[in-house]
Amino acid sequence: MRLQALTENTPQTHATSGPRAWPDAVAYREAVQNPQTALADPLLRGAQVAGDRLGLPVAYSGRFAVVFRLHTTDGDWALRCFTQAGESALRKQRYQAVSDGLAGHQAFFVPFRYLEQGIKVGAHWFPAVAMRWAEGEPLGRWLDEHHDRPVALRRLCRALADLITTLERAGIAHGDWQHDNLLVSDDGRRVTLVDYDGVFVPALAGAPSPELGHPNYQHPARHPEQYAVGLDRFAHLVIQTALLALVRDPTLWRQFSDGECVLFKKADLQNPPRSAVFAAVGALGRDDATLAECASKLEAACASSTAAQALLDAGPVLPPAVLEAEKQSPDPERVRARDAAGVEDSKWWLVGGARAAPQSASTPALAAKLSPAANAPEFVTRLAHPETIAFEQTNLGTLRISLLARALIFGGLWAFTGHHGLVQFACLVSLLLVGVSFAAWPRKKIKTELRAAIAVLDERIDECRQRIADGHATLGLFSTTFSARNAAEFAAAELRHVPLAKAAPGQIGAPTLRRLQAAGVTTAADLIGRINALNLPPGEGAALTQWLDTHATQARHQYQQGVARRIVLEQNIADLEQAKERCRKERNNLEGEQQRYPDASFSLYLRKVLKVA
Amino acid sequence: MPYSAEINRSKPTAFFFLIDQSGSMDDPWGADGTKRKCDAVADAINRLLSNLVVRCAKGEDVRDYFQIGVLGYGGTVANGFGGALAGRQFVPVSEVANHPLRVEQRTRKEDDGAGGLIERTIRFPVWFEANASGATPMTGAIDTARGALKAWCELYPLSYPPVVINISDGEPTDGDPKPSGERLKEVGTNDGNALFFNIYISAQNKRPIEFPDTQIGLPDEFAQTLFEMSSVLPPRLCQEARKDGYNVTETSRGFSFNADLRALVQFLDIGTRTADLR
Repeated sequence: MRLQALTENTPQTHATSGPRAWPDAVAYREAVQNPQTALADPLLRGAQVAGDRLGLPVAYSGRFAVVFRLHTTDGDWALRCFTQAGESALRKQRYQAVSDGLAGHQAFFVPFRYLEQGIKVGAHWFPAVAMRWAEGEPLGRWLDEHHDRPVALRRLCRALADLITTLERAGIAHGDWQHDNLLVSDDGRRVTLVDYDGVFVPALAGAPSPELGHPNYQHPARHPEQYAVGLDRFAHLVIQTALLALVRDPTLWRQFSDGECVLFKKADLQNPPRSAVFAAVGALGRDDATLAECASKLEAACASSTAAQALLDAGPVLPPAVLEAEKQSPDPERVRARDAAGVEDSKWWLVGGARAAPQSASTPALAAKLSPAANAPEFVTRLAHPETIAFEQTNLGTLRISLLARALIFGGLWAFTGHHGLVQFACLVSLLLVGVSFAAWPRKKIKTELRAAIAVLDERIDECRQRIADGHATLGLFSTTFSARNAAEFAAAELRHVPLAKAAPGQIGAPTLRRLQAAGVTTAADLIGRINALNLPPGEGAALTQWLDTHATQARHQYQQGVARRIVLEQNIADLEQAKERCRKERNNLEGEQQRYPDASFSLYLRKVLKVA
Repeated sequence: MPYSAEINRSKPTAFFFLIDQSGSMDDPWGADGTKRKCDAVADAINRLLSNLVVRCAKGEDVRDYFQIGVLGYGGTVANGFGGALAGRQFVPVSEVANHPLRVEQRTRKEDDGAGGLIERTIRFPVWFEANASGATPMTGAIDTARGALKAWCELYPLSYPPVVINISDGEPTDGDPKPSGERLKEVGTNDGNALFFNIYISAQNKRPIEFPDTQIGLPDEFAQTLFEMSSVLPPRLCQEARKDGYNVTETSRGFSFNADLRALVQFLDIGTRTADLR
């Protein structure tokens, strides 16, 4: 790939004379390459546009707009350029109303500004929206990585439930919940909404909806007159049903998602009875009441537009299925180990290499955990279960019968044949039988499990300890390379590595360069604050200032990245410490249980068999 | 209903461009005659490829909604991509995005709105290079396209049908292209037959004709041949053309005669606007 300088007229695809033809995405991408001339907003003019490895601006294309990422002195901002004409005055009003209505909801919405003179393409100005760049992964990508982690999925369910509750309490609806507009933090705890073209705020009541959302998430009969709070409920139900289904069976993701949906597609929503997805979800719902409820609500809403309208008209109260899911989601302060394979709630510390699908869904242990007495010793209570008692009776009964039978058979044989070897053989077999039965004895089995659980926890604690040590080592290493206390210090240090010679011949002439070097000005750092005092020829002075500014901005940007990285490293260590603490507490609990555990010795077992205990 | 398949990564659609690179394309084009026909067409194609790439771009991740093929015919019929993509018939749009032949720095003089002209430098990726030499083996090109498309349709039987756009300035030198054109339109997927659109670039001083629905008024026999070979616009593309201000009817065909460069780019853009991409 070579860069060629060509002076040539590129196709004037959008004539500068005549009616103003609306720019397309490529026209915007060309314009945004020169922010100083193409943008009016002072913050954005001095920004650097994020580029790909070919040097072209990175574009995020949507139905009605294309978004570019700008690195400014105030962090990263997104510039959203409209690729469809629409009515400008109306659009401006809408955005003003939305901006006012969203003020105070920074938890879920990013700050934004509608710019009437946003971006200049050719000789004309076109409107644009500047939004602070939101961190987080779009839901689609997040699910690619986390679809087999039930703990994270449940956390996300809770975050979405919080989100829709907050929105509805404030009388707001987003209108276009979909995989590209929901940005999820890595742990699934925080969700940010982007793309506010369709947002409803109370001030806009009575107007028609400017768009209809993504067909894979909206009711098939959604129409523009439906524009009120509650607009997001259907999409929320679609996503929640999908997430709960993935908790039960992560393989659904590979089966049904194609990057444009979360399991459900338009065709499924239009015709649930003939949908493979609904069938699969229904099958899973047999073991999970909440999932079944969500799925049937969704199916009902799809089937009749009145049901969908009912969903909308239900007022500020959320459907019960949502609240149920909230109750069942686990304590948010759980392990956030990087390789956390999602595990059932009861044994959440059993993180392992394999991402096992949770099969032990309906163990008595899980039910015990969710009941109000969640702190009751788990293993010991199992002993009291009617099931366990029944097992024990069967175990003892079977052993008694087989021992008796054996005794009779071998006794009889001995009587007939007089073989002594038979006695020894009979004793051996009996011993084996008793041993096997003892191992299967519920009390013994549960005790063994308890011991194993403690061992796993010990391993976990050791692993956490090790990883905390590693984390500290990494942080220490990082701190030696990144020790600046503020941006200015960092920038000065970085600029010391940028030799002045790099500026020539583009910005300054060779004689000027020599003069400066003779005067001791050899790096960009030496120029800071001194350019005006150096008596440079006018053109060179301005060029040099710009050159210095570019590098300074870059350095400042790198500093911000460094700070962010340090925060992440520190956060990782904090999370691991928390995890270790949890493991330790749980281990102590289990240790206590082990001490309180009733006698499960062999002698007791024998006495039970012989009915003397 | 045909021509309504959803376009996504598992069901991509295809665009195939046949570009005349015969000697006559070296002639100047248009009223002002400042550009050669082959240069103008190359610019238009490169801009369209940029457009297709950006339409699929979600940040650094370019989603493979489209597969693109370019064929140049001038003397011989050869694959139009070069560099890392040389010799490949269909290239997924993500690879097109990552492997242009080069990224040119072009300066553009623009009206600064205050009566003056301002010069700006922009980066312009180039995939297809202008070339003009040799005869016009259009029939051969159409046959090659047909072979490629047939194989593609077998791989993606449920996709939105492929679109073939042919840009030429004159008569083919290897026989009547009509039968080949008809055979090309017989290839298709479950969602419909391949669409074949034609652009006739001419240096004649005649009124431009875009998306006609009748042969009446076409200037010469070759225009008529191309018109007959062109497919009727499916309903969605009809809507798009109407939205852009063209006067189209239900029987309008994807044919353009003597358009200027702006109209050429517009035609290409409309021709590749398939189902709503999200």
